[in-house]
Amino acid sequence: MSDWLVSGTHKEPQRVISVASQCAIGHTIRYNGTGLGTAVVQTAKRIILVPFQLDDPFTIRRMWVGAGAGGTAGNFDVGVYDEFGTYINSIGSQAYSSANAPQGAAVTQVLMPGRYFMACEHDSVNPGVRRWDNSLTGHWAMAGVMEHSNTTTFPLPTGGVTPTALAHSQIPLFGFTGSTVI
Amino acid sequence: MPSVLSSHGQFTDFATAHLVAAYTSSGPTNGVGWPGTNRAIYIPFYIPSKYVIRKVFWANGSSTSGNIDIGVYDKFGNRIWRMYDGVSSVGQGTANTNPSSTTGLPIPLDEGGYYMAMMLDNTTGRVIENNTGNSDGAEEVGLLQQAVGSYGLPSTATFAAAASSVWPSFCFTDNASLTL
Repeated sequence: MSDWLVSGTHKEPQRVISVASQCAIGHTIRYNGTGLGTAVVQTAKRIILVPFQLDDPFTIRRMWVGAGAGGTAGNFDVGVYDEFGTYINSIGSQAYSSANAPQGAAVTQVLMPGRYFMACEHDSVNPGVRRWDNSLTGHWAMAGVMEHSNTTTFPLPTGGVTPTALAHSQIPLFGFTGSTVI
Repeated sequence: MPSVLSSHGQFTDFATAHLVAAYTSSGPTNGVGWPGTNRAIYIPFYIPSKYVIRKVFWANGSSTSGNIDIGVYDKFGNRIWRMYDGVSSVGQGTANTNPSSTTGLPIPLDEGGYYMAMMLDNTTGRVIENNTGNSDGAEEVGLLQQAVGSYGLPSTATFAAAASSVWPSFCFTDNASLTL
């Protein structure tokens, strides 16, 4: 039996953490088959929760979402919760200003090593967002992607979320950066 | 360590990682039925720190049948845990759902290399899977198999070269309350 290659440590540069990062669901995205596309938001006021873990402290200085083609009417919010759904921080309601460009806002939040959810919500189905799509939601679920269901409010709740089984097929491109620009 | 250890996750993506995307370019599918009756598929993974498995999930495809077993082996092929308790078979469950089990759990794992394993007792049941294109691809990414001969993952694995290209989708979690 050959020795295992020690590849479980994922020391990536701590500048950008997105849903496609190795410490998030980057491997599952890699196996999705179809690449990053663009579409209007799948469901309004449905919060997508993507798990990620940190081995080292990371200071968030900006949260963002990848705006896609199509309509820009509507607002988004990006935030972070701990693994139990307790609210940590978010950028609040942000209006899309243009298509086909990452958009977000500055916020400073230090995250210590641990497990978290990155969260993204839109208030309408009008905006175009860059996203990965797979109707086999079990593909995302086996990576731990969840959602906060039955929400009729926007922006992201500061009272916390209750992660539940995923009913979404689209995973938007969003994340955090350790600088004030992306 | 993440809460969820997926059969397609970062800790199963090792030496041939840079080739995997090419092998699985077709993306996950509903499968075409388990590749062999009572065939076990072994997926190697490495964890960099201690981890406690408290629950297991699997992703059913568009049709289900018969019984399923899932387990964990050490790097020498010794079974550490399996879902089937030796008495009550575990039905595959409802199609297009993500069933779970906590039977025989929790089990602690130390840092190191292991295999996660799955088998079905028929070739009708489907699980969501990625496909490495051919069995050569499966071998090249480290998948192994065994024609067990009867339902239930064996106490000692007899590893053989993969004869199919199936890479099934399932996961472990250390959160017994998790629902996927």
